[in-house]
Amino acid sequence: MTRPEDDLGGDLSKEADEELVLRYQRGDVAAFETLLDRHRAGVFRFLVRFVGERPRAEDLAQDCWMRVIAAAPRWQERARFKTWLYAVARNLAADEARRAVHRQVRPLDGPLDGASAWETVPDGRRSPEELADDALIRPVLEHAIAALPVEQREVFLLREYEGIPFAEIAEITGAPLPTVKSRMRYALEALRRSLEEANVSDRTRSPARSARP
Amino acid sequence: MTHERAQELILDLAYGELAPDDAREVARHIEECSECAAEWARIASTRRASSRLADPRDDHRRDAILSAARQAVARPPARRRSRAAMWTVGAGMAVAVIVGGVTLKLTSGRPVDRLASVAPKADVHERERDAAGLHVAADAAGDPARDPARDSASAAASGAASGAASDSGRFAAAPAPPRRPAAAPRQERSAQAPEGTGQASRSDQPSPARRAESGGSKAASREEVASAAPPPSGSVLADAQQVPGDSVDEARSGASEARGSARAAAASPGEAPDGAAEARSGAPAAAPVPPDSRAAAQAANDRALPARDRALRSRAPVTSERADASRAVVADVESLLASGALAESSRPLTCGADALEQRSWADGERIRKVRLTARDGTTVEGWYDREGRLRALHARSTVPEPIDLRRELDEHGALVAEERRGASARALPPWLPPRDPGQAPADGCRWR
Repeated sequence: MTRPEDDLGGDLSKEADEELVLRYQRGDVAAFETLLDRHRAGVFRFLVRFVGERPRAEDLAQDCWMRVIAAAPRWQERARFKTWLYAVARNLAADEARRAVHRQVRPLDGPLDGASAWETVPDGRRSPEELADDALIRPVLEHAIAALPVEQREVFLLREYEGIPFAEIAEITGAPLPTVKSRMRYALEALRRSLEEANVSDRTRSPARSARP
Repeated sequence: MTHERAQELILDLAYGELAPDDAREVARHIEECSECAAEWARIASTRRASSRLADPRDDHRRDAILSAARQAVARPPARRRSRAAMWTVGAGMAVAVIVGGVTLKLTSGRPVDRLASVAPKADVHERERDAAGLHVAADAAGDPARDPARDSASAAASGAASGAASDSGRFAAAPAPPRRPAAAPRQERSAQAPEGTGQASRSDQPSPARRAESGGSKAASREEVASAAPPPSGSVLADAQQVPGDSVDEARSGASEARGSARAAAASPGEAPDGAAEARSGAPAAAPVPPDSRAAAQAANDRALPARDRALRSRAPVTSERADASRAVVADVESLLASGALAESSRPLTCGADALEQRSWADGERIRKVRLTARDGTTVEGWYDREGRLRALHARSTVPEPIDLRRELDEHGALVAEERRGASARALPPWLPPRDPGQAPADGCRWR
């Protein structure tokens, strides 16, 4: 018995996100799988850094994709899929952040004695010196990001790590473009201060990934 | 380019969002302006430090999400289904009304026929009014007697007046065909109205008259189940294995009474209504069964139940269908969770030396998911079906050694599938989601 996705064929990895959603609307589960593999890591990364708690981020990431699945039949190509996807993720994370303020419970699986809350994957390409630097910088950076106000944190995470342009972040957050840029400036300034206070900023030796000085 | 304009665009330059001409101009300004150069250096330094943050490890939920995506395209949206059903019902009713109207029209000039002899008086009266052309006049004048609510009230009253028991008796005793003529919808309403207080109660507990009426359709349902089952092997075990775990749930929440009772008959013998034994044993369900032989078959089946259950537990192979049923429970719960339909609660507990937090998600009063988290990061999740049975669990831990274990259980708690990455079973924590979600996970556990 052939499934609908078997009939559609094509190299899905080269398809645009929007085309993949349309294919999924027609019953092509492989198209959804491609979308999932393309964006799952990014969405999870954004969420885990936003809420700072891995199990919650896992739930939120799954919620996010479930909502995408539920809304997929009604999706229309008005905006980029990625913008829509991150808007869903951001709304879930913002709601969660609001609930967390009221909950006031220290998470059992939060940062414990210097251990990272995010269970990071070691990067085999880095030198021992760089890895040592990373070990110093990461906890400071994690705490500094977690300490950012929600509005600044979401803009910083979306722009710095997910590569979403400011204009699209404005769409995702519903804030005007100048406001988004202001939040980004404040976020960068706050992080710089935190790193300076921890005296770790001078230890950075590797080049930035996308800065163009 | 002015200093103010360059300051506005410096962030865009850092993130590569400027057009090449603008980028060159801003870069030129930065070379000449010490203030902008200092800001540029600060941004670049912070971004370099930010790049040291490593990616978090994978969240392992890919399969559950994909499973939900498959299910979503496998079944049409509920709204579309209900709309289609509404159209079907509407079309059927329209046809019934037209046929009924034509029949009434054809019989209106004749003396009161045999239908009138069983019809409540109000209907006879209305037919007589029809014959005299009074309906037309009443409609034109907006006669409140034509109001549907008043219509049903008067029908109920007249039904009561004419005697519910006698009406029911007539319907039950009459050797009528399973489907009554479409021309008699009013009779059905009049006869049934006094029997119950509401539609739901009538459908839940059918009266003898109603059972007799629906006997044909129930027999048809049984036949459908029997024909949908594998070739009759004569083994109740073979039939029972064809019913996935969730069919009980489906049957209980099923849309149609006939299908629901038939599936319930196949899935939960303890609750099987009369006649379910034939469906299970593969006997031709549509054939009339003498009461004595039916009782004998029921008794034989009841005696066989414990043995069947034992056989089911010991001999049931690990089938992908049964694992799929468990995974469907997980997907169902996760989808409820995603839609915000489950209420969350949290409770700390101690299990030996381990301090745990138990988070639960409940659908009304029934817990559908439990997550136990220890301070060392070990997490065990359990998913429960609508009957409160543990159907799947997932344990993850990095200490004392990495483990990622998934287990799917059938409705009896038997293991039907297991996927393990990493460590041996010894690495599993002593506390796991309990069979009864309201209980503590293990004997040594105490709520704090």
